[in-house]
Amino acid sequence: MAAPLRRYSSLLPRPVSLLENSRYFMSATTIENALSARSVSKRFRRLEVLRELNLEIGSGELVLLLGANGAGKTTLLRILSGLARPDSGEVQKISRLALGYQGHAPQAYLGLSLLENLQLAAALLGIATPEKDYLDSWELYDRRAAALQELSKGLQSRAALAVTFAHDPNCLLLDEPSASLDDRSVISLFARIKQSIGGVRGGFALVATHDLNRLLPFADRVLLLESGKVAADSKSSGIENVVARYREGNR
Amino acid sequence: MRSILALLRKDLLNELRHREVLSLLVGLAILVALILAIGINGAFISPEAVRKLYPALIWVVSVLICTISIGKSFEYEAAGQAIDGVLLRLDQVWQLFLAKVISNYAVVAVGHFTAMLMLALFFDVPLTVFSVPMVVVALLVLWGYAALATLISALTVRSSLRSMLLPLLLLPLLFPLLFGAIELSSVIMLGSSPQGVSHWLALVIGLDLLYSVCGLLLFEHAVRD
Repeated sequence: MAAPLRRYSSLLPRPVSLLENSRYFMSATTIENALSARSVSKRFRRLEVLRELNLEIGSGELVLLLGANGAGKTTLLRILSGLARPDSGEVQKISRLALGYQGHAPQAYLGLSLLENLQLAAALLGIATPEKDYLDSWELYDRRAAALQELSKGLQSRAALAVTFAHDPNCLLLDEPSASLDDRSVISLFARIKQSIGGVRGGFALVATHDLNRLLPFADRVLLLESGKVAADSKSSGIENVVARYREGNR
Repeated sequence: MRSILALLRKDLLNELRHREVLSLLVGLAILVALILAIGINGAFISPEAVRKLYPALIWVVSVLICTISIGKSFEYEAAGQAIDGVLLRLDQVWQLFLAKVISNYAVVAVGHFTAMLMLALFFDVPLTVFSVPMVVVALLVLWGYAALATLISALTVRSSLRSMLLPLLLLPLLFPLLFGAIELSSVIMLGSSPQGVSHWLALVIGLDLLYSVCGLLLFEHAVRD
C-alpha cells in the first residue's frame, strides 16, 4: 500500500529543521518504496562524487552497498541521512520511518561516557534515557561509565551503535558498521537490524560495506556503486553477478 | 529548552572531564601578560603611559587567548564527528548555535577577566578597574565575540586547517567590535571625554545583535556539507 510522504525531516521522531526548506525534497506525493533517490548529484570542488544517481529501496529490505574506495558510498549515505545536501536531485522516504545513521566515526563525544552520550541523545530526541536492559542487550552495561575514548575500537563502535539505536530507528543507514566488530557482535547487530526493519513497521537498511564474507548472508539485495552511480543491482542481475563484478573490480 | 540545557551540560561535562580549555585560557592569560609586562618594563615606559595602554592591551590579550581557546572547544565537536550525532537528533539547529554561544561566552568571560586581572597586577593598575561600567562593557563585547567566534568555528569545524582558519577569518571581522571595546574601555578607565560613548555603545550592541542574528540564520549552512 502506498504510504503518504512528508518532508524528509519527518524521518526523525520530531521535525528536524536541519532538513527543512531543502530544495531537494519532493512535494508530498505517494510512492511504493520506503526510500527513493532520483538524479542525485554531488561534487566536492572539481571532484564529481555522485552523478545523477537513482535508487529505490523497498520496505523491509536489507541492502548492502558495495563499491571501491571513492565510489561515493559515504557521500550517498550522508545525503540520505540529511547531513549533506545534494547539488541536485530529490530524496523521498516514508514519513513514519525513524532515521538511524551511523557513519565511519562514532558521532558521539569521545570524552563522555556511553551513559552521558545516551542521556544527551535522549534529551535531543525527546525520549527517555535507555535503561539497564537496553545496555545489557549491547553487552555494554559494565562499560556505561567509561569515556568512549578509553574503550577499545570494537567497544567504541558498539557503543556508538547503541547510541544510534537508542530511539529504535527503522530507517537505517550504516557505513561499514562491521569494521571493528567481532563475529558475535556482527550477528547480534544484524539480528537487531532485521528486527527493526521487519514486520509492520516496514523500514529498511542500507549498509555500505567491504565486509562481504560476513555480511552477505544477511542481505536481501546488493547494489554496486561505481563512479557515482548504481552500476549493478542484484534485483535485475542476481546477487552472485553483482558480487562477482565487485570482486573483479577490486582485483 | 531541554535540548539547549542538554547541550550545555555536555559542554560542561567535557570541560570538567578534561579541563583543557580553561587551563589553556588561564595559562595563556598569565603568560602573555607576563611577557608584555617584562617587555614594557624593559622599555622604561612611564606608569601613566602604561595605564593609557591598558584598555587596548586587555582586549588584544583577551582576543588572542580566547581565539585559541575557542578553537580548542570546537575540537570536542570535531573529534569522532560528534557534531553529526547532534545534528541528526536535534529539533532545531539554532539550538546548537545558542548552546555553543552560551558555553563559549562563559569561557571567554573567564579568559577576559583573568587577562584583566593579570595585566592589572603586572602593570600595577588599581583593581578598581573592575568597575561596574567596565564589567558591563566587557560582557556586552564578549557576547558579540562569542557569537561571531562560534559561527566562524562552525564554518571551519570540518576543515583540517581549522586552527589556522579560525583566527584568519575571525580577527578581521572582529575589528569594529574591538574598536568599540577599546574606545569604551578607554573612556571608562581614563575618564576622558564621554563624547561619543553612546555611539560606541550603540555600535557594540548593534554588532552583538548582528553577529547573533547572522549566527542563528547561517549556523545550519555552516555545519552542513
